[in-house]
Amino acid sequence: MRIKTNKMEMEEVNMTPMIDIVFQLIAFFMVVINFAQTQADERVTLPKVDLALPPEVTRKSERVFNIGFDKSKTGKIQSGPWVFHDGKKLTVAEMAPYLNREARSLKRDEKLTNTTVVIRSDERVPHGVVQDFISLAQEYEFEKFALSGAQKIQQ
Amino acid sequence: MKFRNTYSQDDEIEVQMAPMIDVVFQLLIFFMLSLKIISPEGDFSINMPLGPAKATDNTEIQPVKLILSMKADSNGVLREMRLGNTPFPIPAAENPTQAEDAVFRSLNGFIGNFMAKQEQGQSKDIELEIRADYNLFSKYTLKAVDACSGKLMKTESGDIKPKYYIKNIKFSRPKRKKSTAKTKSS
Repeated sequence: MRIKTNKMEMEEVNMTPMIDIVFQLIAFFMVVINFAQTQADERVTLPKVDLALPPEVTRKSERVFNIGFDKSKTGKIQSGPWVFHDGKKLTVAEMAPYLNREARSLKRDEKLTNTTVVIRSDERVPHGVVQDFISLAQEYEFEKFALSGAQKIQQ
Repeated sequence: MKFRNTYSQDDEIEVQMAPMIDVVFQLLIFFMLSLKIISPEGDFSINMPLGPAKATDNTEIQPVKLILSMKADSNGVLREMRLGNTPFPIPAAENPTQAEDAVFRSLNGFIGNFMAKQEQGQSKDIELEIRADYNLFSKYTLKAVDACSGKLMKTESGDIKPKYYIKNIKFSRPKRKKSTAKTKSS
């Protein structure tokens, strides 16, 4: 046995394994990250339901709309309900020109009849407001609708 | 500047690891910041017929039409729910969430039994119409759609798969629309 001398020797840290580990982490994040923006506005708290499942067949054409409230940091509702669109807060009636434009461009591409309007509405949005939005979309010839809910964590 | 006098092929060029780690850390931080944690969600398709109902042929099999009416109190909280003539009273529970979950579970159970009876007899298409007050929170109507759409069942292999009850669900215009709109203007 060699008895350790009093003099402390500085060991050089070998950097190569550290790079390997960092590469592993990068690879993990690259796989997990989803660059496609899912258009899910975080301000909207969806109700938790058992059967909220993604559609069995991925829809070819869909448009997502978020309806929610302006909430304070504590979660208290300050104003609303608003349709969050394009960074703006609009009432349902003010969405008419956007829906019109969207419908016309979809019609030109002959996708309108197959487009699903997906509505992500906050828990406390009055049901009538959601129905008003649906009626407005129907005026512009949207035919398919879907309401979003959050998945309940199965116990 | 001191130039290397000779470069012979035997000399090795040492790769400096420290700057490489710095670059790699930069990349790592970029990915960590752009990671977004999204909770899983799904959606329910609903039928929203455009115009008045078409006159149906008498020879066609009439679908069974169920009407679920949901009434709200002045705050938008569910006060009363009734399927056809069957009431679903909201039980008193420790907290309102438990009470709501209980009432929708009982609705789900009722629909399940109803579907089982339908399958025994002549199976017909079932249409569900939900009539909800204007100011009722949309979470209740969504939970009603959820309760009537089906149930998650454990299959023989142990997977949890949905068993679908009613697929044809629509909302109807409420009869009395609130005169003062609930939208709060800024």
